[in-house]
Amino acid sequence: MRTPWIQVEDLHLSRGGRPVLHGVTVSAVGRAVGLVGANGAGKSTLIGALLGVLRPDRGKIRVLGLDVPRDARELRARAGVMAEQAGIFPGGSGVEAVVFSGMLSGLARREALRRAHRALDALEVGEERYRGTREYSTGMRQRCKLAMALVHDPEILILDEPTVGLDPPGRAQFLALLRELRDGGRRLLLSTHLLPDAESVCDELLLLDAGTVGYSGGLDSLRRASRVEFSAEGPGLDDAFAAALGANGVAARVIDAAAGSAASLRFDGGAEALSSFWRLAAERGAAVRRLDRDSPELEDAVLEAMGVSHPR
Amino acid sequence: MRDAFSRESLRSVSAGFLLPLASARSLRITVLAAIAVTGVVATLRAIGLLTAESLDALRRAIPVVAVPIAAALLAELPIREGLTQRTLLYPLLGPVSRGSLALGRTLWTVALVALGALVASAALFLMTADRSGDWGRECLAIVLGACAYVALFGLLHLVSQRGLVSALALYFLVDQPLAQLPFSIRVLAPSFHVGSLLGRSPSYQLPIQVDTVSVAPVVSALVLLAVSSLAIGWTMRLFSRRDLPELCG
Repeated sequence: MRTPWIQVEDLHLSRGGRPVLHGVTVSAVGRAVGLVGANGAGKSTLIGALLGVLRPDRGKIRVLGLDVPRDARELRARAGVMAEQAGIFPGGSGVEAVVFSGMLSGLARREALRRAHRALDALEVGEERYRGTREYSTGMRQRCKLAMALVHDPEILILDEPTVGLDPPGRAQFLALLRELRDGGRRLLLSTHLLPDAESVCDELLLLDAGTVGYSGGLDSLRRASRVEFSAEGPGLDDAFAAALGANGVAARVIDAAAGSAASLRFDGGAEALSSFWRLAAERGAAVRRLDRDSPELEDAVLEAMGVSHPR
Repeated sequence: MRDAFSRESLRSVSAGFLLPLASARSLRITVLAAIAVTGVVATLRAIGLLTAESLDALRRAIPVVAVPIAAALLAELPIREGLTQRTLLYPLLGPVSRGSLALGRTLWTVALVALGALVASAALFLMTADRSGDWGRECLAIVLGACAYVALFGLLHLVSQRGLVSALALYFLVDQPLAQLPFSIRVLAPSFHVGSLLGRSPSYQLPIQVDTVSVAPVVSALVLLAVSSLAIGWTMRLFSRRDLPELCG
């Protein structure tokens, strides 16, 4: 069993007298954890609390086995943070920005410079590193900010909305970089409101919904736990069959009655629904020619965990 | 507090303060003001309108006028400027506590104000005819005055969005008038103690008997250090507990 690297227990945190996080309890073991939720759900506040920058009203936080906020300084020395709100070091070149970040971590200038070049090389930032950061494109700026987070070789990376503002190719490149970092052994906490980003990089999801945990666990478990739809085709799968399924507590609807002898039916549920379907088909003599299980999209699963129906 | 003095912490605090300094708005304004004053003084001196005695008076005004005004402008640097320009987020994410960050950045600002004032004072000292004055004492008044005013005004900048106006109002409407009063209450004004360090406590010939205490320079030095420590301590405490919606939205 893997040891959790983020453990949060009954975390309450208010800002400006307004409760933002209430009763958050999480235990994350995944190599890359996606922190998802709508704007204002409390993602940035949770990150602030995990890093010891924001002080909770009550609750326990442990990250990498360190007690936060008591050991927050040690944690911050072992974490690289790419904060959404932070600009790049104003005025300087890319390499100066990364050196600045290295020195903030306590590195001597010479060592910070050596590591800055190494981080920029790893992120494939070429001669552009000597240009002023004000001239950078959004993609280059995000790479530079990632290099700033990586310069002191942290064990964990905390990324707050890293792909915001990137065009599709830039976003794909950036996500590939994150996957490389994950596969290289770093732990990632990726805060994003873009579910495909979390799906592309993370193996675990922490869903915040209005300051509470909507879901916490593996991505696959979330999909499995969510409503599964089956679609079936064959003679006898008509309105009467759907009504009979409904009487057995399985929501079903005919989606293609015009097909006559080969009507199509869609119904929701798990193993029990499937069992009711087969039992009814046998009883009513329906010939099932095709039965498909539709895997839900992550977005559907997340919306379901949040108790929101998908606007189809 | 021990972390404040480790080599890594000092590097972190210093880098976080010094590297973005060139883009700091308040520093630019102060430097431009200093260049303008220097230009006017040099021009007046060149055309003979400024005598050696006037330069002496100008030099003596540095600890009591220039230092508090520069402190009012630059006391934005430790925290307020970093909040408004968002340059404080990276230092906050470094391995240094907020208290140490506030302490280190305030001390760097004190050094900046004191250094600028000492350079100006030294230049005027070399240009004046009469070098018999106690320049060492002036230097001490500059350093301790910078400590007290930067610490006090830094606290004002932290608690008020209009820190500069509040600091200038405190200096011109409270501190200066209070120090001129012929009563014991004047010992509450930092500028009284700066004057006392320079050996320039105002004395009065009054028709009534009032208690016009004078204070020994060493006591004034201790008072200024105590004021600085209290204000910095308060700043550290407030900053450590602040919500910082400007940075962690």
